[in-house]
Amino acid sequence: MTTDQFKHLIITHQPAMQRMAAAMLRDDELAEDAVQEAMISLWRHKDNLERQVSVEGYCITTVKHSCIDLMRKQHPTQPIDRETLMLQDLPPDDLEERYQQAMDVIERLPELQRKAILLRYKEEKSTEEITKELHISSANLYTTISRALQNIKTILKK
Amino acid sequence: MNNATFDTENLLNTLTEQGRNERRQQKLLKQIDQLAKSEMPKRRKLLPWIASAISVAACLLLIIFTGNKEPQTIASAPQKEVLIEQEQSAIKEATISKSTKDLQQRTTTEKTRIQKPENTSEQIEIETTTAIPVQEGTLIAEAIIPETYPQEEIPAAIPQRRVVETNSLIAYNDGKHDSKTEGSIKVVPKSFLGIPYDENMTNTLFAYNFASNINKKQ
Repeated sequence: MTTDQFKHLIITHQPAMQRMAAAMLRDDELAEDAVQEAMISLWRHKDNLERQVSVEGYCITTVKHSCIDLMRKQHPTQPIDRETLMLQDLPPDDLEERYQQAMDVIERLPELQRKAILLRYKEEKSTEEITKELHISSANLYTTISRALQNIKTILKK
Repeated sequence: MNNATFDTENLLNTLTEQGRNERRQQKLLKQIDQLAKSEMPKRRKLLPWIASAISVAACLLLIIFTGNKEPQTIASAPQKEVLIEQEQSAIKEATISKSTKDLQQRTTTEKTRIQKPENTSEQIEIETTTAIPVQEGTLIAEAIIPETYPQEEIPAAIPQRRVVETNSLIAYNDGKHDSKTEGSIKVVPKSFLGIPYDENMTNTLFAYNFASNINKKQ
């Protein structure tokens, strides 16, 4: 398996792996660490991946093992709860659908408002970073975001 | 999910969630690149090291070579000074005439072809270059005679010459005059007046020794 093929595989299954890790660990940052560990483990055994019937299943199992390892590291004396260990079903994910809907709304905003909303909420950039990028003052940015939120409400009500 | 349940807060949370997911993916892709790099064949990993080692070795060699040359240059500098001093002394000491008039600084480059006597047509070439004040009675030029040249023939081939007059026309003690060569020719045999010619000595040094001896003898 080439590096590019592996990258494609990881990008495809990362959301599911992240959801599974978050469900098990109940912490987004820890879940991110677990996914990283799983990815490294998958890289080491990347030749096995091609032989798997269900690649997604293999990835999910790997991330579950990473989560258990993390939990053992964090609380070595505390037994891992049975429910977590038995967690089989991948939590449902509608992020893709929700994101598409959100973007349908966002794209109807004027350009400056759209950019400001995406930089603030999607990129999670600071006021300073956004004002630099958009070449506007911070007061102007607050007004723009406020108007954008008003417009989103109006669009969603329709 | 429809727009009725999809309120502003949900929309913004969705954007944040998606943004974080995209950044996580980018992070993972970077890590995959690092993993791929770390698993490069050892030979490819060694190549930059070999290249650096070669360049370091080249630098060291360069330093060694320049390092060797520099002391030589430094060492040769005082030697040169000594030679200049010796040359000046030679000029002073070679001055036999008591007269100090008509002191002129001259530069002479002269080639003299000497026909080898007797049954051979072999020629030797004597090249002399001097920069000296020409005074009356000065023995100024030096020439190196090849070892193969018969020593006893030298004085006959080129008689000892001295400057007897220094004007625009230079007169020699052998009765000849020269306005072109601006100097005089003195053939120095391999061993003359008890001074052996040392090949390691410069002509200037030899001339100095030679001139000193002339003075002593006279």
